[in-house]
Amino acid sequence: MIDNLTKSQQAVRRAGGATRALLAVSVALLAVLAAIFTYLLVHQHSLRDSVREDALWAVYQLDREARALAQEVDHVLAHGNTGEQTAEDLTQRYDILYSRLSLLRSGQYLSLFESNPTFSEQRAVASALILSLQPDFDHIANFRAVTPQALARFDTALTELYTITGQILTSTNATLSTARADNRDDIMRLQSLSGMVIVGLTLAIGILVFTLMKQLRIVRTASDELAATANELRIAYDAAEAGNLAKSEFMATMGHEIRTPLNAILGMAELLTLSNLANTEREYVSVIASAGSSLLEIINEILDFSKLEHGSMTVEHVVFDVRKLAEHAAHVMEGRAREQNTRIDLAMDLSGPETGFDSDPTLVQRVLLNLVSNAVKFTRNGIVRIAVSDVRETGLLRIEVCDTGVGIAPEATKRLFSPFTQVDGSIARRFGGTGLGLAICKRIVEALDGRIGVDSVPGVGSKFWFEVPAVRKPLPAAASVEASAADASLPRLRVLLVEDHPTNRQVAGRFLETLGQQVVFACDGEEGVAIAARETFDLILMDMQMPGLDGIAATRLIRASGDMTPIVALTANASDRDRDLCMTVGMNKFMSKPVTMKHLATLLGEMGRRPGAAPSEARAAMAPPVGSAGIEASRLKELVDVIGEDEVRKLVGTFLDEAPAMLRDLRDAMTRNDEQLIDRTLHNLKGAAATLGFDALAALAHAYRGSGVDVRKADRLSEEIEAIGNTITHKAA
Amino acid sequence: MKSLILAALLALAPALPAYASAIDAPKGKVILTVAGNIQHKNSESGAEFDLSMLEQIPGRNAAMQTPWTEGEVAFGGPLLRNILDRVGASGKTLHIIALNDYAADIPIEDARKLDTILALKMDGKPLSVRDKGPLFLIYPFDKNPELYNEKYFSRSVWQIKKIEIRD
Repeated sequence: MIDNLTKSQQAVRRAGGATRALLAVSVALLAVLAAIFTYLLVHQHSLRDSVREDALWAVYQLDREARALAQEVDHVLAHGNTGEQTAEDLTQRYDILYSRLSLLRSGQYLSLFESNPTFSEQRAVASALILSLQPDFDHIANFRAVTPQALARFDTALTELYTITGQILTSTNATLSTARADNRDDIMRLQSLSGMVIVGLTLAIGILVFTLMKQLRIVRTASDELAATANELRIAYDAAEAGNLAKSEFMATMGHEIRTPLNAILGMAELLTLSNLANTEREYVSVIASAGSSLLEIINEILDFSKLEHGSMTVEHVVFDVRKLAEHAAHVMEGRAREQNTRIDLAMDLSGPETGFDSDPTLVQRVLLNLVSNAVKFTRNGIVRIAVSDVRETGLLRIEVCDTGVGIAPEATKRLFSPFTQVDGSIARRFGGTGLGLAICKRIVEALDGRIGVDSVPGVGSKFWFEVPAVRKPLPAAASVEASAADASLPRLRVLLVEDHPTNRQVAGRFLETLGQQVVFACDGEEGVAIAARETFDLILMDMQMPGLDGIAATRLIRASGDMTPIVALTANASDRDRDLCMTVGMNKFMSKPVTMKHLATLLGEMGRRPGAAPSEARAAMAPPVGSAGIEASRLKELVDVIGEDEVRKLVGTFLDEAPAMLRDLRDAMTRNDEQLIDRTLHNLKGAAATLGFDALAALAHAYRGSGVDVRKADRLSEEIEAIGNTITHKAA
Repeated sequence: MKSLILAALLALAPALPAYASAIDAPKGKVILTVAGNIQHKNSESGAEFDLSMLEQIPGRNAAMQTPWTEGEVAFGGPLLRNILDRVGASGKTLHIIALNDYAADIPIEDARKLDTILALKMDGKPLSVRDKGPLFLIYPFDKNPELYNEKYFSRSVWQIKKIEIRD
């Protein structure tokens, strides 16, 4: 492939060389031709300059007039007529001859005469002879009489004159003939030279055309080869891309496979720390837990990165409290920092008192945690400072993480945000880590349309910062729900745990029991559905990946039976698509595996506050009706946020359609005194109302379940449902 | 001879009144005779002009270079076409004859279209035979430089004595 390309490249170059040589020859020949043409032009110019009356003709006339005068004199001598007419005729003849004399003196003929010394001499003699006759002819003109003495003098002088003019005539003719012949030879030589040049030029152009045609052919071949090569490259690229995709798939699968046993290790370690252990063993267990956590972190990073590499990241917009977010990050990292004798500071420098911003808190949190974690990792006996600021005009939220750690050399900061890069190998050995953290941060920040950077001085410390567009917004009241409420005041709930993996099941079960929950186990989807149909629960924890009926299918079946018990998905495969699917089939929440006790506690805390799942009547009864017609606005909003407005409207519609039937069932049951049916109907009513955020109705239904129901109470329920119906319809209009 | 011609003219005068009214008889020495296809004559041989008659015919005076003179020289004399008009010439060719019987044919257009003169004077002085006089046919080399070549040099007849108008 490359050989072919090289060959054609050489061929093109060779052909180009020949063309250049031929072009040079042609240009040289053209230059010669131009020179010849210029010479001819100049020559022509000088020809035009030399335009003059024919010298030969002038000399001939001189000779002719000399002879004519001589003849006239002879005639007079022969006939002896020396009268007035004769004098006049002779004078005129002499005047004509005299007028020819000026020709010999004229500058335009001098060049011809000067080229030959004999010429000059003859010219001088001729002039002198003619001028010597002037006194005699002037005399004749004045007295109109001719003397025989004068005639004799004329005869001698004129004979001598025409002999000389004859010689001049012959010499002039010879000189001019030579010059003409030389000139002709000159022109002929130039002509033959031009002819040769033109032949050469024609030849050169012919070869040039031939070479160009050849070159054209070579270029065409080369371009074909180029196209073929490009095609091969594209195929190779596709293959590489497919390989990369397969690699990512493999990584995701492996990640899942690794995380499941890791889940068991971490869970068991956590349980071990809860039992009575000797100090040494407690330390061993904590090492196991911390090593496991690090391993989990690395796996998560790798999986995150492979996910990001395929651009499958979606950005949400939620109003969040940036102060809480920063505090949380500080809190999470505090333990590790304390081990290194490092303090974490928090500096809020916001443009106003409100702390609500609209962005993706999950992603911002991840970036911040990563930066703080890095800062802590590289700082000993120092300070890590989280500084939060914002630019209200441009709607930018800026978070800086400064440390007093080892710092980074300037040349290394450029590579810092590329994947699999650490400042140098020794750092990898000293501090560990995949080197993916900052690369992930960069991609996340870029997904948020933000910027990330670092300023660092080696030995002094580093300042990592990022800016993301985040508009200030007031915090919703419900957003104040705190996750950290996982404390001893957890409600006691009946929880159904549907999980096929025995270890996971055991771990999660033990967690729940430790947290004081009542747990029922199901080993697969079918069993889970069966149990859920048979018994009533406050919460169902549903594993997503199970043989046979999986979490999604089981949830569908449970929801299809009208059971609105909150279902929380448990999955190790936390993609956005999976989450969407969970919500679509009617799950309420989503929990990433491995399950930790803290997560579970948080979840249970949240569930406990759900009026529908309220553990005691007292709490339920005390739950104050919020909003118009007892509709919990934040719950509805949450529903809208999670499953979409259309779905919520549909759900509410369904609820309002079915509610009268349920009330009818209730009244029927009351008439027949069917306690069980009454209770189930109230339960169903309560569950549905709670799910949709009709808190007042749910509270009523729940309260009546305990205290018993009568006609007045049934009417009260009808009124409540009617009120809800009116409010919803009013709102929709 | 002169008196003879005069007598002949006087004898013919009543029969050909146009003669007298068109061209007067020359009073001085005749220096130019125009013959051939002409309407107005003042002698048997054609129209004869002396110096003063020619000087009265409108002409031009212009400085120019010629192959026969050194540097710029001013030639002055009547325009050839005015002379032709004066004699009522009609024809295609002018046969111009010099004192030494040299003759040249020139197309009549050279007179009609070009400001060709019969030079009488050079630098204000009359042309003698020794100066190629008394009449020298001078083309307007100053106005029409393209005429400066051998073709027109050979037509530039000097020492002119007679012009014959031919078809």
